[in-house]
Parts: sequence; C-alpha cells; structure tokens
Amino acid sequence: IKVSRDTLYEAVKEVLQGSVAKPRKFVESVELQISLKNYDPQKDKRFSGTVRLKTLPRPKFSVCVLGDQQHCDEAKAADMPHMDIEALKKLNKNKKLVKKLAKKYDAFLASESLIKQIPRILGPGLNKAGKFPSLLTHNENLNTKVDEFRHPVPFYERCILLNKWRNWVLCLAVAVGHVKMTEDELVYNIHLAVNFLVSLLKKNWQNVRALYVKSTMGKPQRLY
Amino acid sequence: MEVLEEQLKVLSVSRRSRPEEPTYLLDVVLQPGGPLAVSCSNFSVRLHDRESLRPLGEFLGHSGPICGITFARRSSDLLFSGSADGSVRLWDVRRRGSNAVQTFGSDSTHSFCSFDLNCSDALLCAGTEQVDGEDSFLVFWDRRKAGADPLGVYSESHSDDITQVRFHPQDKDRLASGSTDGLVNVFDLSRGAEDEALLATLNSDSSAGAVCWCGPASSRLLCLSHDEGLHLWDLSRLDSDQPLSLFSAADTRSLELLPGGGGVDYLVGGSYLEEAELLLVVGGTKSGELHLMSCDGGGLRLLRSLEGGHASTVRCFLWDAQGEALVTGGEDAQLLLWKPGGEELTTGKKETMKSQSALRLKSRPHKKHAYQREKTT
Repeated sequence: IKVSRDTLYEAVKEVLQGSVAKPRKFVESVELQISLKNYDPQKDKRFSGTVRLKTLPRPKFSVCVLGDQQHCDEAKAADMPHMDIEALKKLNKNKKLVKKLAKKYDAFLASESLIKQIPRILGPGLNKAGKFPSLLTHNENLNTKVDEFRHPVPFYERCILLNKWRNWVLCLAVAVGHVKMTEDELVYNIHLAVNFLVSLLKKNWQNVRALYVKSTMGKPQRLY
Repeated sequence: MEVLEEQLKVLSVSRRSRPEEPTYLLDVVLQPGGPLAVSCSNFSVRLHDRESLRPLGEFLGHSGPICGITFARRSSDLLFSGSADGSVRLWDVRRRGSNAVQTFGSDSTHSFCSFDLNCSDALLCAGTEQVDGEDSFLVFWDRRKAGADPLGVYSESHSDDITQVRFHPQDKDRLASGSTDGLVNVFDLSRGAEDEALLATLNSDSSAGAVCWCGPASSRLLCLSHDEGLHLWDLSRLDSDQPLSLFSAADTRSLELLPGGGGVDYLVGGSYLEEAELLLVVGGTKSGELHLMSCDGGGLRLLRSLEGGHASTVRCFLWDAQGEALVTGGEDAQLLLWKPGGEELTTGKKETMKSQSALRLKSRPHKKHAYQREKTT
C-alpha cells in the first residue's frame, strides 16, 4: 500500500475531530474517495463490485431474517427481527406492503428454502429496492453471520463534471465506516478497501490519481 | 470431453491479426459456416475470415460503446449489435461497409449495456443502464417488425445497470439477466407480466458481469462478477430441497489454480461447449498468459496455460468447434487463432509442436536453375 500508516492515522484523526467540532443530527458516514486516471470507462473493463470490510460501515444496521423453522428460532433467541414463509405469504404479493417491508430494514438474510420462493411469494419488490436477501445457510451461527455480514459495500464509477476545466474526472465513493467508530477500526477498513480496490485496477496504483477520506459533511483529507 | 481436453492441451498460436489502429477487441462471435464478427472499442464491428483471420470488412454507424454482438441462429448473414447509443442494429454480412439494415430503439433516456436475440431469432432484448438513479429496464422488440416500437419493458427486477442479457440456448421464452446490483434474474416470458414471468432471483452478493447458460439441458447458470468472483447455480434444483449453488468463489484470484500455487489475475469469461459438455472458463494473468479451465460443482480445474499470445488484457474468446480452434481478442488490438499443434507462419513465439502444413510450407524446393545460372556467370 502506498499510503503510510502515519498518513492514514493522521487523516482519520482529522476526519473524526472535524465531526466532533461540528456535530450533526445524524451519525456521519466516513467515505473513501478515489479518483482514477488512465482509465476509460467507455472501453476499459467495468470497475464495480463489493468490498468486504471488517467492521460494519453503518452505525445502525437492521437485518431481518426470512427463515425456515430453525433460523426463525435462532433469530427469536437472538432477539432479531424475523419472518417465516407464512408471514411472507400474508403480504399477498401486495406491492405497497412489500415496498414497506423493504424500507423497514437495511438488509435481509434468507434460508435456502425461502430464498428460492421469494419471486413467487413477494414478486420483484425486494429486487427493485436493491434489498434482495443474501443466503443464510445452516453451517453458520446466526449471530456471527450478522456480525460478519460485512454488508457488501458497493463501489461503482461516477463521472463528475468539473465546470471550471471541463474535465471528466472519474471518482468513486465507498463507505468505509462512520464517525462513531474508533481510529483503529477506520484505519483497518480503509486499508482493506484501498488494497482490494487497487488490486482490481488494471494498472493498480498507476490508475489512481488521488485518494481522500472524509465524513459525510466534513472536509476531504488527502491520503495519496 | 476427453477429445476436446486433448485438443485444448496442445493449442498454440496459428494466426495473428493485428489491425493498424489501437483499439480494444471486446467481443467475438461466430456462426457455423460464417465469418467471425468482432466488436471494437472504436464503435465498429469487424468481420474476419474464420480460418485465416483475414479482415473482410467492417460496419460503422454506432455512436457509442458496443455492448454486444450476435449472429442470428438460422442465418449467418444477419448480425446484430447493441450499443450505449441506445440502438440495437441489424447488419447484413453480405453487404459490408454499408449501413444497418434495421435499427431498433426505445426511449431516448435508454442506454444499452447488454442485449441478446432468442433462439428462434424472433425476440430481441436489451438491458439498460440505470436511469435517473432509480430504474433500469429490459426492453423487448419483435425483430421481424421493421421500425417498430418495443413490445414492452420489464422495470421491476433490477435496481442498477443491467450488464448481461442471455436467452436460453433452446427455450425461446427463457431469459437470464445480470446486473451491477448483484442479482441474476431468470424469466419465463411465456407467463406474461413481469411479476409472473420472474422465476428465480440469484444473488451474487457483488456486481454481476457475465452470465452464461450451461450444464445438462442448459439448466445451469454461470455468473462472473466484476470483482473476479464466480458462481455456478443449478436451476433444476429450484423445486427441490437442495441448495441452488453448485460452486461459489467470492474472489477467484485467491484460488490456487496453477501448478506451484498462484492463480489468475482476472477472468475473461465463460462458454459452454455443448458437444463436449464442458464449461470452459478462461482467466488471465497480467504477464499475458491465458489459462483455460473447466468449471463444475467441484470448482475450477486448469486444462491448459497459453503463452506467447496477447500483450495485454484479453477481453473475449470463443471455441470454434467446427474448426477446432480457439479465438481470442484483447486490448492489444490482436485477434488470435489457436489450433492444436498450430505453428505461426509470421513472427511470434512458437511452440515446439509442428503441424504438417507448417512443415510443408517451411520446406522450399531447391532452385536448380538459379544455382546453375549463378555458377556460369
């Protein structure tokens, strides 16, 4: 990694201090911004995917388990929201109700037997909301799965037009944490994210123009 | 499968076609008896002879990146191309260098990043980029109706760019779509409205890039994600208790596929070779090597590593079963033909195995007359 630990810690410190100095009504996210160079989105391979982080990048993250008997029992014991197949069938494929369900939770986990039936029972509502569940198997402990449910953080290209210079600058933003996390947690996540993203670029660091880290409302701190 | 594996094991570069301008070769398709069609990053579609790779002509007209090309099944004279310029065009291969015979369009906000033609050559479907930060669409046309509007759209099943659309090789009503939202959807179009047609939704937990029908009766789906993940699902298990996933790897780069450890740096794509019942997955390394692998429930297995081919990222490949050849195209603007025991006639790295025809060409007849003439002067 071409960013020293010192630089990372310094930048993260600045970001956290900035959010304390000007507290907001919500818990700010911390995001990593990467601007790319020598990359042509019209012909180079698409740069998109999910990066798996160690600590969840969201402060409050609600997961609902769409479970078979066993998974619902486990969810109940862990005090987690859950629904079984009968509860899903009661929605009667009603678009408004499915939309409401999608809005209620940040993510869904589903047992194998249920996940196969979701299109039939709920229709495409969860798809449309970008909340189709991930698979929950019986090999994993529910709590660890949710803790580990490194809610896949999507990253994708965004073209930003800089009015002054009429340049298309490619910039990606990836949520790596939030301001209630510790310095160590943020540094670790940023380290993971940067390494993973750079490894996918054709020319690795030659494709990176700059790296910044910032909180939602805060000032960007340059890393590279 | 064994015969094919043996052929793959002795592949080497036989022909090289290098266009004058630097352009990326993004996609290559072939219909038995016809020419090769290659889509280029300069928005053109080029034709090449299947055996010699000789350029035969090109089609210009698209004003945006081409997201895919395909020949009609029943006629290798008809070539379709889809583009981010919001059009799907039909070209007549016999009339090279001319304009498109037909153009299909839809709403002006639609930019296509995928398309396909069904196996009865009647239905066209294109997948759009996300529009207004909200919706993405699957757009359908009856390709037999010239200048007609789309038949309709599906708008509910994806929430982001639809990067691949693949009709089932035998079932004209079955369709799979993949998106950067991570989902692969399977539709049965004979059921009518979208929420009835949606049969299954599979989650790659990443960003779906390539989708390919494979396996016995083409009942399986291969999905490659943009961050080099791979998933193999068995749809025949939809109504059973068994899990749909046959094999899954979040990051194929971490798999030790090569002798001596190490793996691929990126995946080029997958293709199901029906006759041999082999799902061929091709991966590459930054140093330019290509690795041919077979994929099934047990994972990926290396069949053959190819060297001396491309100088940059390889973007497309196909196996020509009739010609027993592998065709690859890449960002170095090269189109390569690999044959069992093939030997390149022009400059380039050569393998030790020599084909009969190569030997014949190498041996030149002794010029008796020239020698005698030289001696007397």
